[in-house]
Amino acid sequence: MRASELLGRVAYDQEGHRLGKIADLLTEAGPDGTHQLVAALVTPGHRGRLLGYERPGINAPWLINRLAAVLHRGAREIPWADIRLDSPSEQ
Amino acid sequence: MTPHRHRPDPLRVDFHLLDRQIIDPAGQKMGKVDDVEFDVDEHGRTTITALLIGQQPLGERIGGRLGQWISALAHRMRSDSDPGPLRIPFDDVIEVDSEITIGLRRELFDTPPLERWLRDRIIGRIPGARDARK
Repeated sequence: MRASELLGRVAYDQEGHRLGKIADLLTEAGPDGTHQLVAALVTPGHRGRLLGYERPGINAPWLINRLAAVLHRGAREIPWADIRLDSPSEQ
Repeated sequence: MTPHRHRPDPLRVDFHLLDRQIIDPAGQKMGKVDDVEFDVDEHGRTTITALLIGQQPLGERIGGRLGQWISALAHRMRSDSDPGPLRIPFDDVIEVDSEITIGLRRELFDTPPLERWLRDRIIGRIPGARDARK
């Protein structure tokens, strides 16, 4: 499986409600050094590159912060285990 | 012994990996990350296994007419022995920063298709290009 097959896909929660489009994939290092997919950054609207300002702890100039707030409105990180990719209508 | 690695944690696939330049330990450029390969094990764990370089994965990632054109171009440049995109095991990634440093020398990998095509069809045909000592 490739990242391009996941990025831009519509994500649904376990009940089949639409969460948005996958904008990024978050991985964490395990004790063996491998990086495991743990969450997806999901945006409610159009999937565009979010330029990284959505990451926690980033201090950008005021103007960039305002712009990022508009661009990233509604973006949230959802645990990978809580995401399903098949639409409810495909069941 | 496992080499000491510097990778962001959490690591964001789109932000930290895609389209970043890959360099070998000597600083030679390998190409940019065109896609990232995952493996899903029997327990459902999804882990990063490799970085992919090449016009073929780039075209497939971009999609649409532009992506089809890039993939078709990559297909034309393929030789019969070409195994496909250049695949760098993620285990060999030492550092993820503004560039991605791997622990293996560039010479150990196949030449990227675009570079090989340019070398064989254009650069190699320039008189004197084969051996600078002659």
